[in-house]
Amino acid sequence: MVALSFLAAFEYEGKLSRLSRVDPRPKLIWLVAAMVLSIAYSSLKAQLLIAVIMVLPVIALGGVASVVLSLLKSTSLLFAMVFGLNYVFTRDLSFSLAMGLRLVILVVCFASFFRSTHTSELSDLMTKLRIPFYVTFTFTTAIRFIPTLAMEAQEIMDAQASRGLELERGSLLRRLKNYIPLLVPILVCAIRRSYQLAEALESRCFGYTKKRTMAYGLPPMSKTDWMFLAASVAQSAAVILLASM
Amino acid sequence: MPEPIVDIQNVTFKYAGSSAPAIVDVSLQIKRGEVVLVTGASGSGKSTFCRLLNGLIPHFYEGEFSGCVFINGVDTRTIPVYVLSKDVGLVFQNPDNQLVSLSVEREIAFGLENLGLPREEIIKRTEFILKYFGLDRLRDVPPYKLSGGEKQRTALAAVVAMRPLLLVLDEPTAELDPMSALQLALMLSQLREMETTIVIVEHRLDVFTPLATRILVFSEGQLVRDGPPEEVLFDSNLSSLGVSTPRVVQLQLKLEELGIKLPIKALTVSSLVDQLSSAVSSLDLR
Ligand SMILES: Nc1ncnc2c1ncn2[C@@H]1O[C@H](COP(=O)(O)OP(=O)(O)OP(=O)(O)O)[C@@H](O)[C@H]1O
Ligand SMILES: [Mg+2]
Repeated sequence: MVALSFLAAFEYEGKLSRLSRVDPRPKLIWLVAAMVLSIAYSSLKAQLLIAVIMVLPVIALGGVASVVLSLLKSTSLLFAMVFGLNYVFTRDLSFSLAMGLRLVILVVCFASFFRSTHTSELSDLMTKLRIPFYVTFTFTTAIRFIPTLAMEAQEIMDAQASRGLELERGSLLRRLKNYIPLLVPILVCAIRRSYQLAEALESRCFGYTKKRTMAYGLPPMSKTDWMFLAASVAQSAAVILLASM
Repeated sequence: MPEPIVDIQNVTFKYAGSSAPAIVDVSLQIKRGEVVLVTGASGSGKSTFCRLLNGLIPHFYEGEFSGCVFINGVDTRTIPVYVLSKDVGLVFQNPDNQLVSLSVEREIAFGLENLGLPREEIIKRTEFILKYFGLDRLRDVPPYKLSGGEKQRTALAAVVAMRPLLLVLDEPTAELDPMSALQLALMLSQLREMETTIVIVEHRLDVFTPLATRILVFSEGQLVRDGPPEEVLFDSNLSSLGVSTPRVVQLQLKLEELGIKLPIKALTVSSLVDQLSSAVSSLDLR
């Protein structure tokens, strides 16, 4: 399953690397800066600068070199497609390479961020950004139930396959049709689950008071966090400076 | 006489869209400090009974409801589930859908946060509960990575953290191995010492009988047995109601058939052994 191993590269790794001990606020700023720069500049030189100055040090800090490698493997087809299509249409080798590299940078940056940030840190981050609780809660619930629903879908697929449903047979249309007997039970299960969830929430006093306590939040930024932030700003400045030279 | 914590008066409930009522004319009272074991065949209305206790019926489930349920003297029709749940903690049959947070630690704090308790209090209680339930090691683990037993334990811990007056557990050992089921029984007996009133729905009576002060048996929505364990379990017709009698009791019933009657009805293996050994020594086999 290529898709699953691809997703695994974005999964939280636990507090293993130095990067995962950095506060999510400066990390988010780094992520946004790298993304914006990578999208703003389209020259090969700029993309290379971003990769070397902004991305490589963070990969080192994250200790995610092996993950990045497997990520590159699973995105190589995508890279080839982006590069190939750009080359076919523009006949511009350096531009096409830049577009391919941009894709890699975006994927690697996202993976570094999500691997090193616990989802509850993400929700704390959203709270800090003054996003209303019901939005944050909806987000975390969605994240919480993705693996559960995925496992359930897998069970349903296995059950249907053992009854003789063949998913990977026939023409494209035929294959799409094969998925219909899966869709119905998956939807029904998901809806039933959502009812049970609502019931469980009420039974845990969800909505008891308007002034809900947020017992957990991001701790104050440490010295390292501020250093990371300063480094991100310096890296961005360096990229902008060198790219426009 | 203190007010009963649960007072159910002639309640009948039929789920919308089903043909027969799931609870039929049930009346009972539960006093503070009781440990009530609820049993009965599959589909006999045990989960429906649990839903009556925290107001999910009639608030959440649509259907025909008649009669009254009073919790701590308050009619459940008059207050919403999320207020009633402060006093009544319900642990559901399926642990997967009641874990809503991204880590075990946050899960335990979730209900306390909803209650709007002060932050320090929440952290203090959460730390205590994590240790008490042996979940310390798992505090950062997301729910989907827990085993069935760990999920069950987390769900229970999260409800106990809220310190309900009445704790209702719907088949808490469904995902537990026999050892963890015994551990759970031990934990509940400690809670009982803290004056929590407990209702446990369970098929496996062996584990919880020593704890129970009272046993209810449901059959097709009706409350067909209600009494202390010695009275309810020593009834040879129990199996016709879909209840599996504990082994200790089965043994004594067999002995009775053989004409051997013990002076006291034993509910645990050790009390049975005590009685048998004193009976044997009084025979003086030497
Ligand atoms: N949400 C619902 N909608 C309609 N009918 C329901 C619903 N939940 C339960 N029932 C019906 O009510 C009756 C009692 O169900 P209940 O779940 O209370 O039984 P139970 O004793 O808990 O069974 P089990 O041991 O299988 O959990 C059953 O006939 C069931 O089909
Ligand atoms: Mg049930």
